[in-house]
Amino acid sequence: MLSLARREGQKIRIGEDIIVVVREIRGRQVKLGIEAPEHVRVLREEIHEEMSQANLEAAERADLGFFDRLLGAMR
Amino acid sequence: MRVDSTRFGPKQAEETELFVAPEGLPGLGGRIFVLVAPHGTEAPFWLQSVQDPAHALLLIDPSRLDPGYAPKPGPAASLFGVQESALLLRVVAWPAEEEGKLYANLFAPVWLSLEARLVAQTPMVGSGHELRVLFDLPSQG
Repeated sequence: MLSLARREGQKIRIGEDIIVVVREIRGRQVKLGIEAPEHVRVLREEIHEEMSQANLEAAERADLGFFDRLLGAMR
Repeated sequence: MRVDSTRFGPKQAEETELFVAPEGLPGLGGRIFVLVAPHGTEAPFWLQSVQDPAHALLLIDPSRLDPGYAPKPGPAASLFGVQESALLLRVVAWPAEEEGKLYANLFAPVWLSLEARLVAQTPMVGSGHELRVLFDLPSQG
């Protein structure tokens, strides 16, 4: 993993389109600003993990029996 | 292309059935999925992972669950490079513990371009929508 030391107001550029700026450092918390194209998914890791868990739960629980019941209910 | 699936068995997928998720689908392996739609894409259908035989998501038209649900397709349209009107909106659904009910993920809708064969799941942070919303099974409509 690449580690970079930055001060408040300084930036990091990722590729051509993404800029991360250190907006504020207060105690143990850092506030970051991120400029990225609309289509780039920027998420707190916790949210990505929750989405992953929901998808895995869905992939595990949705079976063909449920699919048939769903189709039957909608007909 | 041969695709193995724990639900559908081995399947010979045509190129026109293969969809690419440029950013992947969170939690699921790989970026290539097979669209399995035995009753068409207006009815519920599946996205089967090519990489993992056990991974398939069941997708449903959210208007059958919540007619007022209207996420913005901007990020997906931008990612795919297509008009917003060319996108198909679906949400992931799975059975709830209670008989006759299902969960749907309204926080992260799934957008598909049937023409470009692209798919993306775009979270709506700050929208108030949730990952697991309980609904009755939709009836005829």
